[in-house]
Amino acid sequence: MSTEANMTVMASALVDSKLLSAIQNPLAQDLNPDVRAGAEGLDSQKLALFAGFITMVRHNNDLFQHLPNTLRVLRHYGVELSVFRDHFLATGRPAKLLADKIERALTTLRHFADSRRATRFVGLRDVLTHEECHWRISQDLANYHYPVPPARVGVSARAIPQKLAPTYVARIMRAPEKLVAALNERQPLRSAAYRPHYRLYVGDVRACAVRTIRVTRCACQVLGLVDRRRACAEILALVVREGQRLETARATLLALSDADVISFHNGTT
Amino acid sequence: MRLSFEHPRVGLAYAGYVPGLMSRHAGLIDYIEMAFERLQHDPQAALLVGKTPTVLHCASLSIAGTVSASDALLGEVRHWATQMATPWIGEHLAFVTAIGLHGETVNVGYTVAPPLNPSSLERVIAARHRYERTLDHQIILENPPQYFRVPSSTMTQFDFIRALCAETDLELLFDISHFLITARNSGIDPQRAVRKLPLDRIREVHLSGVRYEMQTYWDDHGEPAPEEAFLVLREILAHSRPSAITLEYNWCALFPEDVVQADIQRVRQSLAETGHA
Repeated sequence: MSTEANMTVMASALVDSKLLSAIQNPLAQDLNPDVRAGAEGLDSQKLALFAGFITMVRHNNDLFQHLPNTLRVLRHYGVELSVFRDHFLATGRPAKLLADKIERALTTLRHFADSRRATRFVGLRDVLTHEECHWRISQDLANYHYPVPPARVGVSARAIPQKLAPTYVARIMRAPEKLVAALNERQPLRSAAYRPHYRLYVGDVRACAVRTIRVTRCACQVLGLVDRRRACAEILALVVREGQRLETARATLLALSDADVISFHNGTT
Repeated sequence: MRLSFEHPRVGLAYAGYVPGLMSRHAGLIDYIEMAFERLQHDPQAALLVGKTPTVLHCASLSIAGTVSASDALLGEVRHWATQMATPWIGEHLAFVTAIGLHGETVNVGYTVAPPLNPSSLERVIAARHRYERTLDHQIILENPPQYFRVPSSTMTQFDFIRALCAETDLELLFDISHFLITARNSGIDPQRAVRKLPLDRIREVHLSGVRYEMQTYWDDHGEPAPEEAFLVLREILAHSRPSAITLEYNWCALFPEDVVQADIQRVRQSLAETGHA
């Protein structure tokens, strides 16, 4: 086989994820004879890893800026290249726009973190979730204008709660800060204590920053119902129907208001 | 800004943190190695040209490939080489572009180690002469990392480099990390292999990190050079007189500066201890 044919197939497969998938499958019947000949003797599994390596290098700067510790966890478990190989095979070349590039990478990373294979990679989901929430809020703050809310009113059955900033709620099993500390100290990530909790990520519109608050399940339920339309009475009724006590739900609404996550308004504004 | 390379110099590949590091630690490095591809999209990097001694590195000529570099590309490379008064242009012994399955030009956007055989050898020799004439600058070639055996190869990368140097007056940009990667992935003992290379042809040395994943050694400019790389550096310095040693710690904007400083001092110490300072 000629040198040129080998280079043609290698170069083409490194930019065409479908072709790379095809030559990885030795039983593929519909392979073009030129491709089959050019791929003869080629270690297609290694070529696919090389495609993953190139993809990883192309993502390095952007992902290190926004998902640095997720990458470190992947590297800690020795799966970074295989994840980026899968990312290339699923999506091809990286998107040109930063936001699209990160969103596509997040889809791959979330898919991997939720897979059965990843269950043994302790801490991956928590660190990914934490950095994803930060990313989403930074995007919300950059892309959406949060209008100054109408005049506040006191809490009442008819008052309508409204979020003051973008929020995301996550179920965290091990504190991401502890997991990162373990990474820094080259300790097993299991050394970060298993303490499941709900965490609220709140954007700070003025400071363009993110703060986190540990919250109850009830707070998650309440926030999930705050939509600028439902009044307090309706939200409380729905939360009670989901098993919370009325007093707990009411106290939660007030606590979220005290923490400047929501404020109350009358329905006419 | 021209710098004399009569005595070996120590430099850093450009990364976002490098200008700040240079301003905080005057005299830490002698020059910046600037990637041509970075100059095309990073105005901050371009601003340094002319203000700081700079060496041009390039990964676009596809010198081992079957597609010739366009006149426009060569014009741009020549422009930057002239602007920065680079003493040479470091290019990869690799291909970036190839003829696609339908006759189109495919640009991988990343250097790929070529098939290693006499026809590649001829192609590289011819391309180097052609581009040196057009660019009016010396081209030195960098050994690429070999991650897997490329079909049609009839020799090892080390035999290929030896043959290239035997047939021409080529000088080398010897990347120690690429060398370690190639040796390990090919099942060759690097300490023995290095002595068989034409070390007297080394004009510039690269140092960067190496990682091991999925049963393969990989290039990693986000990690510091391993201990073994410094051992190879000493072996090289014992047998050759490179003009420049460049640390390529440029894949991570947050590369720890204390590590960069320590490794630069380590390189300078190696130069002093081998009589090169």
